[in-house]
Amino acid sequence: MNQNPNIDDADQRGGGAAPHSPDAQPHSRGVELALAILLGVAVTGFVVGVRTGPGSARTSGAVPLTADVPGELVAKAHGITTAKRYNEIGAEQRGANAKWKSQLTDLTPDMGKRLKLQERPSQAEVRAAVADRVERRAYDGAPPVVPHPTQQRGGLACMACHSKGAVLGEGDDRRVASVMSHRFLVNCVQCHVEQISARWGPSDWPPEGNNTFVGLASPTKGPRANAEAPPQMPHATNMRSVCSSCHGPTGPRGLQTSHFDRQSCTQCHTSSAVVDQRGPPAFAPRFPVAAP
Amino acid sequence: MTELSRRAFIKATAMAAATAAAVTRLSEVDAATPAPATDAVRTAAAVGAPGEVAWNKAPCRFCGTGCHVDVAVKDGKVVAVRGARDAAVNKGLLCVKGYHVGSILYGRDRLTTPLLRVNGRLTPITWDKAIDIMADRVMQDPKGFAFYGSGQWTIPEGYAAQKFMKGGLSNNHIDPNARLCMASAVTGFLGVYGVDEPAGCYQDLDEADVIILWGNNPAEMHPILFSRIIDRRSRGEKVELIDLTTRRTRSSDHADHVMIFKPHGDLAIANGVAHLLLKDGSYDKDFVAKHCNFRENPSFEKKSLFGKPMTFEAYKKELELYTPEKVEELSGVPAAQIRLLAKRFADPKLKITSLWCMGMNQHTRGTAINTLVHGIHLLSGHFGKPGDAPTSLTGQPSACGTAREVGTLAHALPGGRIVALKPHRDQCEKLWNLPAGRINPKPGYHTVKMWEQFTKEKAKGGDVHTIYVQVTNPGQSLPNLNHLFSDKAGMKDKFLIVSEVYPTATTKLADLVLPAALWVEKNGMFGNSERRTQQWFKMVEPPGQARDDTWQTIAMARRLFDRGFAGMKDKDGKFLFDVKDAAGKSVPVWDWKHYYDVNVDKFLHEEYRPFTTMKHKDLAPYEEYVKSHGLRWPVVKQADGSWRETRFRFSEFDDGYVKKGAGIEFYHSKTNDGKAQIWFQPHENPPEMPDKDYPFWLCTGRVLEHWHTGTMTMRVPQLRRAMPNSYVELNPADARKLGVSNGDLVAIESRRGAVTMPVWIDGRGKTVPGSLFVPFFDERLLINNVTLHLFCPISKEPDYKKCAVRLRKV
Repeated sequence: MNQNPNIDDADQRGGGAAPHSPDAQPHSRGVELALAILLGVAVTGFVVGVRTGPGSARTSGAVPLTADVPGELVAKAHGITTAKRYNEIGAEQRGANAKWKSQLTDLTPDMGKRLKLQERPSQAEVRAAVADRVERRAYDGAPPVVPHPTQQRGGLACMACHSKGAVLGEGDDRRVASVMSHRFLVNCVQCHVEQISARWGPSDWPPEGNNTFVGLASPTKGPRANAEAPPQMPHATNMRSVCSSCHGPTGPRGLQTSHFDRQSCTQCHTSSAVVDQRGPPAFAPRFPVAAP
Repeated sequence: MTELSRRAFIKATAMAAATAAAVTRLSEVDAATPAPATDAVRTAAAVGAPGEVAWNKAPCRFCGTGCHVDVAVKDGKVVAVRGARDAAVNKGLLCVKGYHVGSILYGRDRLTTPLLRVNGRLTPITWDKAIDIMADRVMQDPKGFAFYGSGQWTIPEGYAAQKFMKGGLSNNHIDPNARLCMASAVTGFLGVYGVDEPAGCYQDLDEADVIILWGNNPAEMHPILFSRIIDRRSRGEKVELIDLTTRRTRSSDHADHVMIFKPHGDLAIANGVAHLLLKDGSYDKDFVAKHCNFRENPSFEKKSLFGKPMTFEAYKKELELYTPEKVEELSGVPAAQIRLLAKRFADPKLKITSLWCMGMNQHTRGTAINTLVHGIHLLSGHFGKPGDAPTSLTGQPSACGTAREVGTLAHALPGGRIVALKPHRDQCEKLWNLPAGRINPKPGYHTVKMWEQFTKEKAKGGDVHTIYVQVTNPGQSLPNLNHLFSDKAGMKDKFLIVSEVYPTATTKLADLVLPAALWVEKNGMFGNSERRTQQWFKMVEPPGQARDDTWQTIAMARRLFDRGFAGMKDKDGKFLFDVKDAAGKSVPVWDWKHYYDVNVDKFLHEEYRPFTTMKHKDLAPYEEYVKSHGLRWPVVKQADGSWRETRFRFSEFDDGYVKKGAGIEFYHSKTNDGKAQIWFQPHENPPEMPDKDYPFWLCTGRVLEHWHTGTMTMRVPQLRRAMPNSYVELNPADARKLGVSNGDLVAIESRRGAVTMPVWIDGRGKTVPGSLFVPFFDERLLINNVTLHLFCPISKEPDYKKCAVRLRKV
């Protein structure tokens, strides 16, 4: 039922030249005009009809146009581009953004492919990785800074990329977000802060050169008990427990292990009690602790 | 590995580590003590062989949380820092400031030589000349000499300054910047319990079911304490966070309930909760009967610290006005949320901890709101059990230890004493061996008054001619700078002495600048928010001629003594700071060459300790602090000779000073009956509110990356790059009206001054329409040119959180 009163009005008034209209007066000039239009339409229709093209429905293929053959096959056989179903459109990306990934699961690195890598990184790759590591922290043991803008509020936003190590970009632009290497702590920006030179307008204080602090150097190699022994960890573990964050497939090439498949790192590589300052707590509580 | 061999192995490892630690300590002694080790002179300056990394303990230099850090020193420089694994406060974690605390020592523009202003320019002079000038200024008129100190003073620094002024000059014009930060918390504790500082401790944060943030943003200001709360959630615990705030912050993002109130609405909210507890009869009748009295101000116009008693019936009647609907009208918080808050307090099974900081303290009714929050905890019985506590947080590392406990305030004496009371003065004179009557009974100038008197011409009554500033930056942190600081420029008869580590807004107007040693460049002791006293040793040498603040005070005192200034002698004619070594021989510590011949900190600490027992804030001997990551007072000697700290004050299960069987006893009760005071404080409007001409509220505060005036953190590259400049937070609706967007400059103008800065919309925080937020760390964009210097009538703490401004697009 049409609820639009204006349209109802128009229907009631009727079209001026409708054939069933009681007050229509056939006129010889009107008939001529109608015939001319009819002829024009016929000629145009013929010309368009003989052209082959995406919309054409010619029946010159092996597959007959019958109802019992699936439409897609028929269309393919006849070179017809069919319209997408609505439920297909959502999943498909076209145009300039075709390569964008809109699902986080799509960004997870393909471990299966990368786990096969068994080659040791080159010296240049190691140097590059260590240089990157140094650049991102004030000293060995400092929490790395964030090399990209961060959410100012809503701390859990970080987890979207840094929980599994999202892969962003391709080719030279390919970046893998580092996987959180320590137990889950909620307030990421408590320790890791973004680095910008100015927020609106130039900064009058270039940080370089204005502070002469020289941080503890990044370690290079861990000692081995003998030539065949697995090396000891050269750095403090601090609170990190996920070695694969840096040394696994998502880590920088220069820090990657040659044996991704082995999961229990500390089975062979011990942490250093000296570097980690383990031992008995130097300042243990010396009093009986009362309970209410 | 069998159980036996595993244990043997652990034991062997432990022995090895302990031996290594002992060797390190020994090498410290050897390295720093040319003379035989007659005293514990253990500066860690020469720890470790060249190229070796040596670790030592220190509290973090920044906020009042009091995190313990391990500091790595290599070749005489700090090279790394980490959260001390076994420190009870931070358990191995730090915040971004703490991780970069080592870099604060190495800004390129460290002050390294004394500087005197000659013809408008700061010119290098010798220390000897500088000390002479300081002595001249005192001699000129000892009554007009003022000392402006800090909650960043180490305890011995504050103690030396306190003794110099009150015991030496008979002059009480000594006040710390802590007046600007926690004075209202002090008056709150005094008014309610009769004695200062929180009863609970950080353990409350681990055990509370509900945590209420009263106008504070610990996600940025006390990140370690905040993560201590929210990390409980990731371990599967349930903790409800209620954020009472005037703007959305990083803390709000983690809160279960965000209750946004109008500035000053907190008084109404607290009264609203009390109203519902009484109306529903859900207050803790037993607790109130046993442990509480009721109190009010003498009148609406006249406020006082201890007020007058009132009956329970009168209290109940006064609160009748504060129905949830009325509170909604006054505070803007929906009545349903007020009911929710009251429901939490009404539930005796829940454990509730309230936290607050500057929101409640920097308040023209600061004392009132502090007493009200204590009041609803007492009324509902949410007090004295782990997790049930009203706890104020401090912003400076030793606001508690130095300003509050040593009493470096204009009216106070060490150990909770006050100058106005003769018995207190007598005790101090006795402990300091001073002639009777040396201590002046009249309180000195509090901070705002001191600077008003300093920036006023002498002819117009400005009777402070010299201020000696240590460890703080009033040129940026005082409110209404045009009135309290900038006027000093060009005044011939005023002299500003500033001991600093870097050039600051204060040194711009200083006449004499003294280079100071910073953090682990000196020995020190701090006292944090949970009554924890911590100690550290000097680890690296200060740059150039920078020297300890304690030394500066003692050297000035000695110069006066040498000139025959009577006040610098005790009643036996001996020098006030007659520091002795372990053999009892006097050491000339005023001579810098000999300052580290003896541990001056240890000597002053042991001299100060007897002051601390009167108010049961007992401190342990210095050596106990060397062995620990801090101890919470009262630290009481046990029968077996060990020293036991106290986590929960006034609770019998943990506090040895509570009478047996009492359960809870407020043993410094002002009413002498072991009871605390529940106050009635009416809601009032703030002195300045937005109007037609100045339509916006302005609130100032801090950000995660920068600490206070940014003197230290703005020189750390990682922190400065994270937050390079100040900004004004503006609601999107107001920005649209004004036609500005992110990065556009606006002028913020009040009746007192103006500043121009960029707009940041929906950035770090989100304000409500009609209100602004500006952090104060940026010395290039001084928001304190705009703020108000009106203060709480009792605590004298100014309100940086509320004033009326207008905005103009530039």
